[in-house]
Amino acid sequence: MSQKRTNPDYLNGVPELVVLELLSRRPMYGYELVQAIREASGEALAFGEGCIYPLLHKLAERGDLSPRRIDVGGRSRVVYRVTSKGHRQKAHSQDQWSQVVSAVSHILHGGKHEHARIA
Amino acid sequence: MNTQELHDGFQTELIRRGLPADYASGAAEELADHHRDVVEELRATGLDEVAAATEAAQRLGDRRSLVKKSVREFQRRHWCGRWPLLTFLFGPLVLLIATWAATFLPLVLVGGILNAMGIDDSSNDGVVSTAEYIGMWCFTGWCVFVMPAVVLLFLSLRASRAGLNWGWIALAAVVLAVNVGSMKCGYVGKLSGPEYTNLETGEPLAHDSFVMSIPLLIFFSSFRSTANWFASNPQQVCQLLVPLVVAGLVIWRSRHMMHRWERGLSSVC
Repeated sequence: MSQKRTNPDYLNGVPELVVLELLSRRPMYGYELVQAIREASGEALAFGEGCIYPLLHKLAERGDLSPRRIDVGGRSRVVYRVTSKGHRQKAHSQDQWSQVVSAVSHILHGGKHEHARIA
Repeated sequence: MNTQELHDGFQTELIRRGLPADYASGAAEELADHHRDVVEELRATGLDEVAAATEAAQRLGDRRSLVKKSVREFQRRHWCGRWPLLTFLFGPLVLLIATWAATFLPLVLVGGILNAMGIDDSSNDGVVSTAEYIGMWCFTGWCVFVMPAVVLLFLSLRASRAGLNWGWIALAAVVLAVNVGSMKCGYVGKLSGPEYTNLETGEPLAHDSFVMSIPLLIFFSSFRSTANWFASNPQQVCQLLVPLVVAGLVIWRSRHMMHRWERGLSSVC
């Protein structure tokens, strides 16, 4: 049976954070970015590679990324770089993500609700 | 599927779904670049051209799903794309009332200023002059024909910019048609105006009275009475038809442009 090539629903919003993080390290075009995600995640994040473009366009429209068509390796590419607004957004998303991870981890490792302890 | 086929197919599908040609072209170009890169990567591993192209297309993902995601992303950029039901169901009436207010308030203001200056042309001598008739009919025509058409054109433009399909324009047209078409307005007994009766006494209204009536559909007792209300005079039928005709023309034009673009693309290929 083939493995399903989609990610769980709770990863909503995570692709944006991943893209902003990787692009903040260096500007990249779509194909490069997909390769970078694969390498950085050890291929744990699976997705149709074309899905990266609607996401990049959304972030560009929001002003988090700045696209520019330039020549790379003799071919014209749209290279995305993170804007200052994007950096702020990334920091904000990172904080939120850390809080969620910490809270879920706490629950999964036996953390109890405060009210339950009082009761 | 080779890169050019992927590019053209994706671009055509985006335009068919209502996205602007320049956006569709840019998005298809980027996707084709990506496809080309993956093909090169796979060719370097020893795959032949055809197998590499097929594998590359699979890696990009299902085209329908990509188109859907791209269209949704584009629509979400616009307020009316995020809230289409709110915009095209309630927006027409809100905009119509706003445009009426924008027309009516300056007239009241000018009238007030003229009155204050002692220049009062509205002497109630019991006789309505031809100029007054023409003025009032122009005003009526402006409110019940021109303004609804302008509102619909404005909403059509918004829908087109947001890449929304023609169904939303049709919805706005029906909302406008039902509401504007239900209004009875005009001079009684003049210019084939409708016959009006006093709601309390049931007697016909006197000639030379200007009547404007906005019914609440909930009070219509039957389909027949509703149909009678809407089709009781030619002006009202025109009020009903204008938004529908404008919407029909807008939709026909957008579909015509799309077909022309598709024919152009196929002749280039």
